[in-house]
Amino acid sequence: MDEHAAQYLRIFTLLTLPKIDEILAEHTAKPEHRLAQRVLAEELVSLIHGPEVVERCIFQTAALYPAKTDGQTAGYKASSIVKAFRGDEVMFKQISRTAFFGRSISRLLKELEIVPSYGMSHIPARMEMSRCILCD
Amino acid sequence: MIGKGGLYVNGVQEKEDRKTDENSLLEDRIMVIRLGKSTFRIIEVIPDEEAIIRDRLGAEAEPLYK
Repeated sequence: MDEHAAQYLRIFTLLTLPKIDEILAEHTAKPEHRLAQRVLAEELVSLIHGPEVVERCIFQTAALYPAKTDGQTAGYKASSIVKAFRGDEVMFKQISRTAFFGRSISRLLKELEIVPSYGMSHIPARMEMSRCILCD
Repeated sequence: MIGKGGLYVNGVQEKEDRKTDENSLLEDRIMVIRLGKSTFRIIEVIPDEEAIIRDRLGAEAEPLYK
């Protein structure tokens, strides 16, 4: 993708050529930030789905896949997460309080059709801690 | 086991199939599930009354709770 970023930015976006050169220069200086890919994705989604969808996607990505370099891990409220994901029938599920509490997690995931069977949600033996921006 | 990465609830890998309680929710509202390496699901816990209305009205209930 890196080698195609410049070409795709020129083909698939309406950004001016000087602006694309500017983006590529910054991308070359810090390729780990993946600026060219981000701009390409944002411009394409904006052209196809509109700027509101871009904002929503950026928030979802930032919340679920926090950048390792920015050190910012807090600040995501449940209400804004709900707002960002509501309407996504695959990623977002709702359940009543009565149905939620006191239920085993494997049963919950099965009933919400997050996993296809109880067996699929068997808990692994090895315990690890994982950083997730949503729980900081 | 789900995928190679296991099951994470609110960022912590689950050791056993425990039951849900008040501590299972972030801000008493959502549970974030990560399956495997990069598959996420968000579960929102809503009041029982709202769940009934949503069940009855489907998409028509959406404007009521925005």
